[in-house]
Amino acid sequence: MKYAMLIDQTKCIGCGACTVECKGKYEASFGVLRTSMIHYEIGSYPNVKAAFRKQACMHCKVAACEEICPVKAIYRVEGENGGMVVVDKETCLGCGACASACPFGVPQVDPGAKKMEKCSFCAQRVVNGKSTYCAEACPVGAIDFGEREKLIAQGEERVKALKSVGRSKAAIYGKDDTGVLLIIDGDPGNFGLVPEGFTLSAAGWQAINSYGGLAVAAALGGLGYRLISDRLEEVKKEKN
Amino acid sequence: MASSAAVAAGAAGNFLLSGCQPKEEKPVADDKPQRPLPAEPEVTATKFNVCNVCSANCAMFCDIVDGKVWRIRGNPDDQVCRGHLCVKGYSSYKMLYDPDRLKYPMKRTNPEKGPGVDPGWVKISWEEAFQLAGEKFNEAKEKYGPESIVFYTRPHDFAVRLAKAIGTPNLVRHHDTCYGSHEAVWRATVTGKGRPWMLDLYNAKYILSFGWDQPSKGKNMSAQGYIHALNNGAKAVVFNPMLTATAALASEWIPIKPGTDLAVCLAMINVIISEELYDKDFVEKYTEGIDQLKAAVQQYTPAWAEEISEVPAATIERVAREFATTKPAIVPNHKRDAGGPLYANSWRTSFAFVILNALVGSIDREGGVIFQRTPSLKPFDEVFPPLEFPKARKETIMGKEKFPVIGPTGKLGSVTMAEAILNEKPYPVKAMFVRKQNVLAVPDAPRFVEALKKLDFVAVADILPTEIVQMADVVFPEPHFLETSGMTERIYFAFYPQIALKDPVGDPLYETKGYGSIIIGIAKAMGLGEHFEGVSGGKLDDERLKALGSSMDELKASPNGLWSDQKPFKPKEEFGTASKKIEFYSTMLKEGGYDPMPTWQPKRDLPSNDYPFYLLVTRYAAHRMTESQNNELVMQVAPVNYATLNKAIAQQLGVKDGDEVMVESRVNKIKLKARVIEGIRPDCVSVEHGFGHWAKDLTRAFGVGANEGDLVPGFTVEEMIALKDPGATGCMSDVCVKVYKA
Repeated sequence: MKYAMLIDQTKCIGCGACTVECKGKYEASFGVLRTSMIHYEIGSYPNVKAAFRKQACMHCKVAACEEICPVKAIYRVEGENGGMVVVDKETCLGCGACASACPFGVPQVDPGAKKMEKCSFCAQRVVNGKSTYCAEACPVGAIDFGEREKLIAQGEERVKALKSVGRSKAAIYGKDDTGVLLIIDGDPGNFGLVPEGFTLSAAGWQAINSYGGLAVAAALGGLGYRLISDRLEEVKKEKN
Repeated sequence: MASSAAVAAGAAGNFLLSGCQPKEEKPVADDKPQRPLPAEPEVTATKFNVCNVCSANCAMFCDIVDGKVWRIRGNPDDQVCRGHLCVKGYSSYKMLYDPDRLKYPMKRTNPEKGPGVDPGWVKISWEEAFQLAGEKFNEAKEKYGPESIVFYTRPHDFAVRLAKAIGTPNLVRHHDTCYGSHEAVWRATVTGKGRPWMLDLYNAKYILSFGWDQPSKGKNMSAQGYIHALNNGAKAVVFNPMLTATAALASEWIPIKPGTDLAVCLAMINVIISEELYDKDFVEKYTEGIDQLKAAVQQYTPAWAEEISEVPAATIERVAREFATTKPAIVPNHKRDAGGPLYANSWRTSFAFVILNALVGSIDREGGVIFQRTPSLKPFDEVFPPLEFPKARKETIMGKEKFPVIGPTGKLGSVTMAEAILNEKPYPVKAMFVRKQNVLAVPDAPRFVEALKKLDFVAVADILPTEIVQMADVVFPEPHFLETSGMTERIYFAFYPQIALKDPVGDPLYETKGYGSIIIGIAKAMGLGEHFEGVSGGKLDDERLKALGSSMDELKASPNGLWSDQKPFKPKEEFGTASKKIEFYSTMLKEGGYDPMPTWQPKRDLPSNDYPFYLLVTRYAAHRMTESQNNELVMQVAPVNYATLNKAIAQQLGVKDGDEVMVESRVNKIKLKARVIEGIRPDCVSVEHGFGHWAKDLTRAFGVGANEGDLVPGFTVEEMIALKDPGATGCMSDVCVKVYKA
C-alpha cells in the first residue's frame, strides 16, 4: 500500500470528529460505525493513564477477512494508489465470517442492509489522490494521511520525541503488518491490540475469536459453516 | 499534519470556492481497480457559513450535493478554526434536517402544563402567533406592570430594545451558570469591563490547568492550541478530580479534591512571591498591591494546602517553581473550570488565576491570557437611534441592583429565577419570552418547571421542540443557522479583527422566521413597532461593514468569505481598572463589599454521611449543552450519559459497569447507568451534562439518560447575596450526593 494513515494516540482527544465525519459520508444503520473511539486505561487509581484508540479497519497486509470471505466480496484495491482492503457490497452476503476472523474485531454486519460495514480507507478518494475524510476532519492533527514511508519516518521521529520526555513505552504499531499505523504509549495489549508480527491465518483468528482457541475444528466446521449457510439460505429466500 | 495528498484535496476545495473547476485527478487506466468503487458525490456548490453551535463561530465551507449539505469543512483562512472544525460543527447539519424540527408557528390548546402533558399543539399563521403574543404581553403589562414580563434570552440587540420599549428591566441571563465568576473577577481586577476570551496556547511552554478541560470538551480552538503546545514540547500539569482527555494527554495529572483548587493556587502564589520567582518587571509596571498580597498569602503554606486539597506540599512547591520559571506560562480559563461557576469559592479561584497569570507576566502577553482583538462594530443604537423608552422599575427579579460588580453587566439571574417567580419576589411575574434556553439548563430543573406553570403566558422561539417549548403557549419556529445569512465578528481566539460571512445553504425548509423578525413581529403586535422603524439585520450588518470601510457586497465577493484586518499583536500597556493596572487588591471588590483579595473559603457543600460523594459535571465533546441530543450523528458518538465511579468504590457499593444506579442529592434524584473506571477519585461521581429530555417530540433524545442539573439546588436572590460572590453565580457542582444501586 503506497498510502497509510498514522494515528497518534498521544494527540487524540477522543472527541469523535472522525466518527461523525465518516458516519455522515457512508450510509449505514444507526450504531454501525466504520470508525469509532475506544477509551482505554492503564494501571489503577491514582497511578492510571488513559488514551483513546480509533477503532477501524487496519488494512492488514495479510487480511484474515479477505481470506475467509466465502464469496470473495472482500478484496484489495489494485493500482498504484491501491492496496486497501474493501468490501464489494454487491457480492457481500452479510454472513459475518469476516467479523469472526478479524484480529481487531472491526467488521460489523449492518442489520439493516445485511451487508458488512467497515472502513474502506476512503478508497474512492485515495485512488484519486485525495486524503480520507477522517484525516481531513481531525481538529488536532492526530490522524495523518500520506505516503507510507514518509509517515513511518514521521512516526519514528515522534516516538523519539516522546521517549525524550520520559515516555519510554512510546512505540509505533503496525509498521510490518498493517496499512494503519498507530503511535501508542504502552504495550499493544493495553489498547486491545494483538501483538505485532501476527501472521495467523483466518481460520486461526476465527478460532481464537469465537472459542478462545479451544476448539479450532468446531469453529471452522461449525460456526463458520453455519454463518455462511444460514445467510445463503436467506439470500435465496430474498431473491424468491 | 499536511501530507501532499491532504494539501491537494484542500486546494481542490479552494478552486471550487473561487468558481473554478477542481482539477480531476483520474487514476491511470492501468491502475483501474478491478471492481468499481462507490463514486464520490459531485459537489455542486460550496457556501460560506459560520458555525452557531457555540460562540466560537468557526468559519465553515458547506459542500452541497443534490441541494443538501453533504459535508462541512473548516475555513483554513479563519484564525479561529484554522481549517478544522470540532465534532459538533461537523455534525451540525444533521440538526438542519432533523424531522422533529419546529416547522410552523403553533399555539397550545391544553391549559395544563408539565412533563408528560400533551400541549395539544395547533398550527397557526405567523400573524396569529404575533397577535396572540402581543395581546398576552400587553395584558400582563396593563394588569401587572411591564416588569411582569421577563425575557429569558441570550444577549441580542433586538430583544434588548423590545424589553426597553416594553419597559421591563427583567432580562434574565444564563451567565451565572456559565462564566459569571470569571466575568466579575476580570472586571473588578483587570478590565473594568468583561473577561478575556483568548488563550495563546500556541506559544505557551507551561500550561497549568485547574479543572480547565476545554480539549476534552472538544472546544475547537482550545483543543488545537493545547495539542499544538504539547507537540511543541510544552509541559502541561492538570489538576482535576477526573482523568479527562486533557489530563490524560498532559505531562502530569493531579487528582485534586473537588473545590480545593483555591487552596493550591494560594499556596503557589505564596511560594512564587516568597521565593521571589515572579516577573518583577511586569509586576512593578502593570500591577498594584503586591505587598498587600504578599502579607495576605503568608498563611497559605504548601503544607496547609496539602491538608485541604490532598495534593502533596512538595508537588505544590515544585509545580509553582516550574510554572514561575518556564516562560511563557499560562493558567488557562474558559467557563466551567475550577474558577468557573462551579463552587461557592470559584470566584476566588478565578481571582487566583488572574494573580498567577500576572505574577508570570502572562496577561495580554505572548503565550498567556490575551484580550480579543475584535473589529470595533458600530453599536446597534448608533445605526438605529432609539426613541425614548418608558422608565423601567429599578428593582429586578434577578436582584441586578443588589450585585454591584456583576449587576451592571446584566449577566445574572437564571439560577434565582425559579424562586423569584414562585415566591413572587420582589413582585409577581406573569409572562415570559424565551429564546435559545432550556428548562434542563438551570439548577433544579423540576422547580423551574413549577415556576413556568405559574406563569399566565410563555412564548418561545426555538428550532427544536425542547422542554421549554413544551411549556409554551405560543411557539415561534426559527431557521437553523445554516439557513441564515449575515455576518459574524468572532470573539474567541481573535488575534486580529476578522469578520466571517454567512450565506444560506439553500431555501428555508420550513415556515420559519429569523429571530430579528420575530422580535419585530411581537413589537408591532404590541403597538411598539415605532421602536423598530427601518430596523433590519441586513441593514445593521451593512452599516457596520461600511463603517469598517467594507460592505456586504465586498464581503460576499471575498474569495474566502472573510474580512480581515491583520494587525500585528501589540501588548496592552494599561488596563481598565481605576488604577489602570492589574489589581491584586481590588478596589471595585472592596467598594462592592466583597473580599478585595482572594482569601481561603471552602466550597459550600461538603461530603457527609448522608451524601458522601462530590458531584462532578462533565461534557461530551460531541454534545452542545442540551441542544444536540436529538442529532443522530452526535448520538452515534455519545448516545447516553453515565454515573461514572471509581472501580474500588463501585465494588464497595456492589455496582458493576452498566448497572443502574440512583444518584441522589438533597433536592432530587436521578437514575443512570454506572460507568466504572480507574481514572476518577473514589469520593466523586461524574455525570455528563445534556441528557434527561422529557419532551416526547424530541424522538431521539426523549427518555435517554438523566439531567444532573436536577441534583443541583437553586437559590433565592437573598441566599445568593449571602454567598458574597461578586459574580452571583450558580454553584453548578457545589452539591454532594449519595449513590446506590437502583
